[in-house]
Amino acid sequence: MTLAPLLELLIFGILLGGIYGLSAIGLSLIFGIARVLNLAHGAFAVLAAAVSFVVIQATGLNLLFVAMLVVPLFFVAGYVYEILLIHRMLSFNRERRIEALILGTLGFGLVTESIVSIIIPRNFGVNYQFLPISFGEITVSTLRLLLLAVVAITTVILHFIVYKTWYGKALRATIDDAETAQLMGINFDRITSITFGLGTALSALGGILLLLVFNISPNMGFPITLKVLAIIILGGLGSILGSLAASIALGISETFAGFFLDTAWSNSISLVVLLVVVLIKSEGLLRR
Amino acid sequence: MKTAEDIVIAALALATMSAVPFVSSSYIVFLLNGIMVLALCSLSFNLVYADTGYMNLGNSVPFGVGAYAFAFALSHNWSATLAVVVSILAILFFSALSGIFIVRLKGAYYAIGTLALVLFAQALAYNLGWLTGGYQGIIVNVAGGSAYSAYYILAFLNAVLLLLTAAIRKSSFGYRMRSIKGNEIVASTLGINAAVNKVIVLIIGSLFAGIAGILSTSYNGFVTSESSFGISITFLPVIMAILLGSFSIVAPLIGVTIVALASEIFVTTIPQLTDFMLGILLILAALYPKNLIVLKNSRFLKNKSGVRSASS
Repeated sequence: MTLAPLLELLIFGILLGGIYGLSAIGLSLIFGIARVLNLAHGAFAVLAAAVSFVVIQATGLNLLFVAMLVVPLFFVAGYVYEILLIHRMLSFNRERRIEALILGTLGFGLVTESIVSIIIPRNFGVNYQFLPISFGEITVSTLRLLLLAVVAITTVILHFIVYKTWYGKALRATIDDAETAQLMGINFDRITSITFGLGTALSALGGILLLLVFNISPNMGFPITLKVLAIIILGGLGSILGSLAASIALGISETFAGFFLDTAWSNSISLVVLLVVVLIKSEGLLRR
Repeated sequence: MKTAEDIVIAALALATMSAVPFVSSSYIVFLLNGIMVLALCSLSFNLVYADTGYMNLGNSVPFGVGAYAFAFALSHNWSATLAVVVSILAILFFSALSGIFIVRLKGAYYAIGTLALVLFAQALAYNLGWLTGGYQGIIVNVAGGSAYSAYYILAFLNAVLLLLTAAIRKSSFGYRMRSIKGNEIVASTLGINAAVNKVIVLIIGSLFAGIAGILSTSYNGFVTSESSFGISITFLPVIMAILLGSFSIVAPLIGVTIVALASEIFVTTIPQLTDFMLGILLILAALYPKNLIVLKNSRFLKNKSGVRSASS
């Protein structure tokens, strides 16, 4: 075998990892601020992909343009999701809170996925070839390079938001010490809602980009959540670079497993990674 | 003492249960079997959850192992007795194996780890075609009337697990587990081996869930990845136990009947909405645990051992 297909796989793996990485940063921020393992995270990605798919089918607009409309919409969705559902459960006492958050976010994810599967039958995403972006027939398709660029730009913007804005400062302060941050005049509820919005928007962007990479099935949401979970446990909480590195490692291993074994196994790779990672770092995210 | 009254009620219940197959259609027996399978899984979830506080969302793994092992054995023309023995050994082996790993996880990680195991088992069931029949699953020839024998065995096992839960709650084993729930570190300093106790209770719970799996194969005559690791069998028992108050012993049984009947109606009339309904139920279970059906004055719902649960 020549080296070219392996390189191609490597680039695809990096791209896939980059997309997971965006979603992972979103979940990591949410977990960091509210200690909530949002198990509906991946369902938002699937919903965003489905919404974009329907809009493109109906209007024939360019996907990147649609993404610019849908991603802010999911910021609002995440914001409202926090206020209506998560906020209530955060007010429970500690013991009840953990189980309530697991069941509640899981249930919300299930509801979201079932709505998607009612709207769109089985798998979707095949019709992206009509997009003007997908030109070029070199070893690496231009579309994938473009997606990589989107991932890179988003990461830079995110880095700017987290480290250079007032919101970012408040976010990091709350992640470090929520009580002291509140004493300094930071509105915890508001920051939490905004972070849920931001995290959900990132998950949505990940879902839309995935739409260009492979077919999405409505019940992919929870597996995506587990992958992202493995990534943030591996990469370390709150670390944007750590999450990206871990996600690229996962993306590459998943791609190679899909190529050398069988595509049916590639999802199991991330599950094995999750189980192993959780076992090794059984204190998980809480040890910082 | 109300012991005499309890015995009368238990005898009446027993008489009603044993009379059902004689007076009703086989469809009703099938339906009741489905309910009792879920009830057994729910009680098995409850056994681990109520006393140790650990949420084992992976109860469908032993269920599926039992269902698949039994189907595999029968489809290879092994005798029924051998098939049952092999299936139970498989259940014990896999629950001990996963228990050793899972026991290290705490809190939310326990729930997520066990749920990840379900997805892993699902992937294995799809990919190991020679063992599991892949997407089609395994079809087994079941003897006529097996639904009826499954009915009595299920009723018996539910009763056994109910009594066992009550017995464990009063035993020193039960106290050890509740001390783990209260504070695992303090329990360890008092000389309680938390890990061993957690694995033991997990294996007991898994055994019953696994036998439920064997029985479901025996009267359904087939096993697929969906029937053993699907969303319904994974979450319905959890929903039942939590919505109905996992700290009383009889409550899950009443709830099981209501929720299972509702889901049966959903599955047969509007199958597309089953997941939707399960999701809504999960959210309800999260927001209003043990409040959905308020039967506070019923003495059946009271925790008879007199042990106060930590959350109440």
